[in-house]
Amino acid sequence: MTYGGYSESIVVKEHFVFSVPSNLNLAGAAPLLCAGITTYSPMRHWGVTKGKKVGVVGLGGLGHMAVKFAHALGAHTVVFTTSPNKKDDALSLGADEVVLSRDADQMNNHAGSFDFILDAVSAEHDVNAYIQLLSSDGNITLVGGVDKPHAVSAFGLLFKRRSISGSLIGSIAETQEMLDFCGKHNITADVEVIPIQKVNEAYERLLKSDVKYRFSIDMKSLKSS
Amino acid sequence: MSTTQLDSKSYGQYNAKAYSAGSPTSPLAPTIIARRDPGEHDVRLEILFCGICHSDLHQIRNEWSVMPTVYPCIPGHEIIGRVTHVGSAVTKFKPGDIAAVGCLVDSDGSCPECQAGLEQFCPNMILTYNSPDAHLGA
Repeated sequence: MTYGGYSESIVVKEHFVFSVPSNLNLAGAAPLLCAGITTYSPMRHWGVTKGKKVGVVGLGGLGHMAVKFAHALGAHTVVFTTSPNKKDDALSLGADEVVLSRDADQMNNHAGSFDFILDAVSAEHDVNAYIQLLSSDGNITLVGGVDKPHAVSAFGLLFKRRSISGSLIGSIAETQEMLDFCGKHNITADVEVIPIQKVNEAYERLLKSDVKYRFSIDMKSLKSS
Repeated sequence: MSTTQLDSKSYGQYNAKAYSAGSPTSPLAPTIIARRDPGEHDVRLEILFCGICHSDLHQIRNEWSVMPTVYPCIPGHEIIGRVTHVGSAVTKFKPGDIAAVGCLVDSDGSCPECQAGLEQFCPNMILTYNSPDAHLGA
């Protein structure tokens, strides 16, 4: 079987290897290769740009990258969260507004107004609450790997010809484009650097969302294992 | 998109330190794995940083019914490294360069998706971990 990056080295066909802009912090650049491209690709596909209203659901590893990209692409960026204490963090990442998703009044104020929503939640949740916030031809793209099937209201989609999609990472060319975009805008993930000896502890913290926003393993720690 | 063809040649190999999971319930622990020696189109990286993705945790705990885990499992697909070796046909990289690897390490290059430059939808794509390894065996 193929073996991943929790290792001191790897051998990969050139076509699947990317150049990294020299201005980027390397620990923070690592998460661009999954969290970054997974959020960048659907935004490019669905035309996120200046003048669009874009929502981001879930402010974790993927969500925080989505906020940075939506902001850098010039969109009006709205973060949905269940935690009031994430508001300041969301604003400092580049959000223009923060909506508490458990507050029905706040949600209703945004009904039918979004061009695009990126749903980066990997736990079970109700996507219909977000579908009703989409404008005509608006799209919500799921990037969270929720194993249990979602229940989706047909009428929520029929009205306003809304759509729901998935997206999986991005192409090789688009990944290089994303890295170059990050170089130009000096975008990296916010990371907590850990030695590999703390990886199991990091998993437990990840399950509690106790990281802002991604762990990055300093692989030179592996030399002493 | 003419550069890739699923390559099933066998190569020499070397040992590398890694962290692996042996079962859905065991913690990650140090191990030694075999890596292939770089072929003419290959780049070998010394890994400097690897991000922790929630996918890593899902995979080592075998939580995705569509992608069952084969153990031992060595996760990690957010890779930044320094190039240490390049094959004779490599043109974009040289030793010392900073480079990156993501979730894919190969695709067939011939399917409609690959021809359209959408390797991430190739039915025969090879993921960075937990995919069959054509070089060193499954």
